Amino acid sequence: MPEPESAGRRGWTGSAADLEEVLRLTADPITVQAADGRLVYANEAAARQVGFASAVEFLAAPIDEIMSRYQLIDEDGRPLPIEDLPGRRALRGEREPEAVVGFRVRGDHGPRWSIVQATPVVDGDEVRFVINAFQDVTRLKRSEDRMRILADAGELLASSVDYQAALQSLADLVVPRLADWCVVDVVEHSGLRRVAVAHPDPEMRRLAEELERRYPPDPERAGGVAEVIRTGTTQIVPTITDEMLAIAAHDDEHLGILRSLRLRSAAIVPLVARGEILGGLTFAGSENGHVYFEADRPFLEDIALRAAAAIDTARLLHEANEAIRLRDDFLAMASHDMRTPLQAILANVQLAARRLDRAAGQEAASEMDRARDNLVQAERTTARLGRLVGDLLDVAMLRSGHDLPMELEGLDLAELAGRVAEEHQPSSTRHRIVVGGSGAVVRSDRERLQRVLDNLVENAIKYSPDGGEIVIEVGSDADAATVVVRDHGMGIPADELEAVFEPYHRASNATTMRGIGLGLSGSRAVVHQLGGELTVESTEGSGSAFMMRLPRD
Amino acid sequence: MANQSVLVVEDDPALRQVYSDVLRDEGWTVHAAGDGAAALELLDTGVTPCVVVLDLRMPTMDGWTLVDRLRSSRWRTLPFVVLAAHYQVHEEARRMGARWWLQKPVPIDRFLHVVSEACASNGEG
Repeated sequence: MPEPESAGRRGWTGSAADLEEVLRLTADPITVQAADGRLVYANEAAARQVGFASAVEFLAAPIDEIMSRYQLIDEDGRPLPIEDLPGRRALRGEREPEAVVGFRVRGDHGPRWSIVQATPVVDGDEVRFVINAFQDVTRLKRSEDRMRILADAGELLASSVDYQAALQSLADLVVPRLADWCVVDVVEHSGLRRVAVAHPDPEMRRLAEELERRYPPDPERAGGVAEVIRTGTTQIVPTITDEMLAIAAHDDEHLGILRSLRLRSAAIVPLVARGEILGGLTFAGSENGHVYFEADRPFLEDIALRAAAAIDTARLLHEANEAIRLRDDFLAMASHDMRTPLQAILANVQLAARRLDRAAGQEAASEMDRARDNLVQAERTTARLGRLVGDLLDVAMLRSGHDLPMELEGLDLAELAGRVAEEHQPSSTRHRIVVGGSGAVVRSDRERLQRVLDNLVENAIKYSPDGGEIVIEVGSDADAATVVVRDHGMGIPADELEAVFEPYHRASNATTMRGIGLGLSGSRAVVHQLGGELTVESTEGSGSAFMMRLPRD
Repeated sequence: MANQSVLVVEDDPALRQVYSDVLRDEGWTVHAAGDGAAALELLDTGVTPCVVVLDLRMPTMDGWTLVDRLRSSRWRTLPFVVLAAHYQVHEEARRMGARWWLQKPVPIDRFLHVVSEACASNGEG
């Protein structure tokens, strides 16, 4: 076995000058303080640590100049009084004091951190001098800080379902620890919306808000948060040049405001959750502040991931609540809509029974006729309820992604329209239902087409409360058979023409009307499944025309 | 019962018809309206029912509005029966201060009983 250590020691013939050179060039900073606290020795690393070119220069500098070059901070970022440095404490008699000390050197970005150990050299009871050894822990300290920021961010983002407030807290958390500026933009239907801005100076925040108001982000513009959101790729700009500002500025005044923000470095990270880009998180450093490098990317993206998850959760929660509200509304209305025909059936059947009882006595003929009327009415209403249930089941199937089982047969649309008109005419004395046209034969599902026409005619009656003519016009062109149902009622506002086909929708000018609003969305889906289309033309105040086109037989 | 008169306010034509038939068969004089506004018009033309039977959800003027209007008019003491398909009709009736309410579908025996009771209370103050 070789013995490299002892062999090395035997081979070393260094002089005192050599040892001095070892000390001078050791990578860790070392200083020596005299009993009165004066700095009497520093190696090269110690000089570099506080921004001096050499140890000679450092030792020659007046104390005031040395102190003006850097600021001492404690582990929590607070100013550290010089009396609390381990060297001073050792001079006061502490045995081997140790502390984490931060040096914020002027003109440098971010503090450097060292564990400082002071070793007093004593003669009897007297401290002759103190050796200060510095161990650089900047990287360790930074990753520790970042872990803490991540933990804090996770905690505050998870603690609130109000994601806007949570994002503002996040921005406030990273300033000033990680950024001089932090801005959060979120993608919404209408474009980008700035939901959080943090900067220690309220005047600067006001400036940023004014900037946002006067020059809203243009999603098509190159660079900046818009591009990050478009591409989903993090952008890191270690040094922002005036040239970059000039390209980003819309005009001279904009450039002026941008310059006054004194931005020096920036990192913009997309907020991505479940593959969807929800917004952008911007970190920026001002003069003498934070600087971002490529190496910071994983950490910044980690923060963005947490923020995006919070936005995503809040949105999912909102959507779920909205769905529950819609469901409750729907149940209330479905219950309402079914109770009404049930009432008519029950009352008619019971009334018929009473009349038949009476008929068993005297005046038989007229009571029998009246009882028959009740039964016919009950039959009609039962059919109406049946169609309502059929619609509900069809829409439930369509909404869960199933195709409807269709029963196809040859159908004359004019005959079907005539039957629908006949069935609906008794329900209103104010309307006249007229059928026109002929010659449209299709291969389709009779029951479902009838339900679609029922819905259209019921709507026509419902939404023309003043009465009038309702026309069902059957026709055909080169490739389709058509049925148009036209009324002269209240019509549909132009900007809601498509929305009437959405589930549960009801036009804004028809809020007090009954109906579960499933008819049109279900009708359109049924017509689609039959290979056709259902469209509407309408003028608010003068009526609507719903047109169904079906492939010809 | 022959000289008792009722005002039925219901927008569904089939229901309006069958309520009227049920009441007329029992000797009531029936006035029927398709919404709140039509009901107020009937009252203005001199119809004097002892009770109003009203639906809640109706076009043009709903039942809630009709009750408000009745309360601020010379008809404020006219008894009314809320007869609605609303899934929380009892809650709505309580909020409206209605003494009588029925949820559709209601059997005609009970319907007639409640309408008679409400009518009989007319004039009690």
